[in-house]
Amino acid sequence: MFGYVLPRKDKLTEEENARYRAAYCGLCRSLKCHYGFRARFLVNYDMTFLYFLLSEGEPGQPERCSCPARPFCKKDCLPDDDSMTFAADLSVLLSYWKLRDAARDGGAFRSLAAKTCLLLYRKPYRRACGRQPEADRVFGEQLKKLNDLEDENCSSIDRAADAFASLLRACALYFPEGPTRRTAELLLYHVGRFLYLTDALEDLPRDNAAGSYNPLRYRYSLENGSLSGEDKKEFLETAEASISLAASALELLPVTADSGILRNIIYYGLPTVLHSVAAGTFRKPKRGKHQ
Amino acid sequence: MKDPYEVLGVPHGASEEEIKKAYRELARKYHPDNYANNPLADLAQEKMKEINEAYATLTKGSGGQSASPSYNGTYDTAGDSGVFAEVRRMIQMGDLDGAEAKLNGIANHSAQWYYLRGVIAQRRGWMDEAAQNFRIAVNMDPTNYEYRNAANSVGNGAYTYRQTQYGDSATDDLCSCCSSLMCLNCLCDCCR
Repeated sequence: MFGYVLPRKDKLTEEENARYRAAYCGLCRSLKCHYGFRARFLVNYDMTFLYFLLSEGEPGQPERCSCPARPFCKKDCLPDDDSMTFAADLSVLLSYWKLRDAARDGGAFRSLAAKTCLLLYRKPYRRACGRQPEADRVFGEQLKKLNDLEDENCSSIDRAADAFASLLRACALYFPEGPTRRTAELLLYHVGRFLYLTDALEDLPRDNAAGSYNPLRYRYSLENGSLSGEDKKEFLETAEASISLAASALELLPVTADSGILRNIIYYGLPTVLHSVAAGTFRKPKRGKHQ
Repeated sequence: MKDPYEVLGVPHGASEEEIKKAYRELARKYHPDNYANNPLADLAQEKMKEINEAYATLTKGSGGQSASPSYNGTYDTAGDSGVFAEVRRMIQMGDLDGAEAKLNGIANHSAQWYYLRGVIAQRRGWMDEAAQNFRIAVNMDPTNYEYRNAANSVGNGAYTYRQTQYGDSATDDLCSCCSSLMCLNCLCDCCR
């Protein structure tokens, strides 16, 4: 996954920070329980956000569990409830489809690496597929749409982002049909649009040098491989519109004990990530280094 | 009916001042203007109604109703030629694909044509295409209030998170502190 959906740590309270870490560790443990040890490597911050979105925020007592990355220290893990398992299922599905995508467009080395990983994760994928067939169907369908748009060098950033945003929207399938699902769908759609746009912005210099598809290359006329000041401003505005719309949806979701963390991510985390990517100073946090 | 104190997010036995403050904050957050052209406008409207009712109950009807919004989120379709009125109706019903197909069948691309294409894009969350279409509509007919309004609304999003108490995201760093001081310094120089 992308790793852009992060909270602003300095704006989290101490309890929220502890809960965020416990959710991350809980997701890692849930992946291991349902999909075996190798699935632990699929743990990511984006799906930790999904967990908080789905969970009812029951203040379940964290359990102390051992962490394979730090063998001598025990970590707090949130219990493996329905929303945690769903987040784990979707982590496997999304990672698998992302690997399929990398195997298709990456360079020789990258696509070989992706193909090896695909073999490694075939079994967990099949199991996740059996558990969430509807989500898998939407993921496949939307990625096919995205691949077609890439092949025709689509110059509309909205249309290219729409495919990925619709894919992420399928994560709202967890909720039964009703206003909550509708609201979560809009939120996830715009988080997805934001992710796609931010990723396109970060990859622009590399894609431009390699000549690979990037919607920004066709939407704007580039100056020395990057956006001009005016275009960048326009681009940031359209990406921020998605943050605004995600916020408008968040405010309509039922308030839970974890609403503070979700607010932090949408109101502080996403704008911070967007602006640091635009300034070229964004560094992805290392796995599990959220302290 | 839900507990009005819970709806307004205040403790039982809160003072009138606290209730009023909480109400104002919520009413600002869920104001229909923030949800104009948002697919969740109906839910925001429901929420607004709930807040108004809770406030009216707690203040025993004094002034609670007067603050309720008069906005109903419908289009002013008067003066539209037939096909555009039909497109607007389809957009309002949520049939975006149908509305788009109908627009594509019109050969004459007027300002209104671009405006309606922008509205369809905005409803889908395609804010870049929406902004482009609104801009063309405004350029073709700069006096139209509806088009200008739409062009302004799309730039900063339907729900301006920057206006909320959370929105100091990327600005509260040292640089902005320095730059404000520099601006202040310039101003001081001017006064001398």
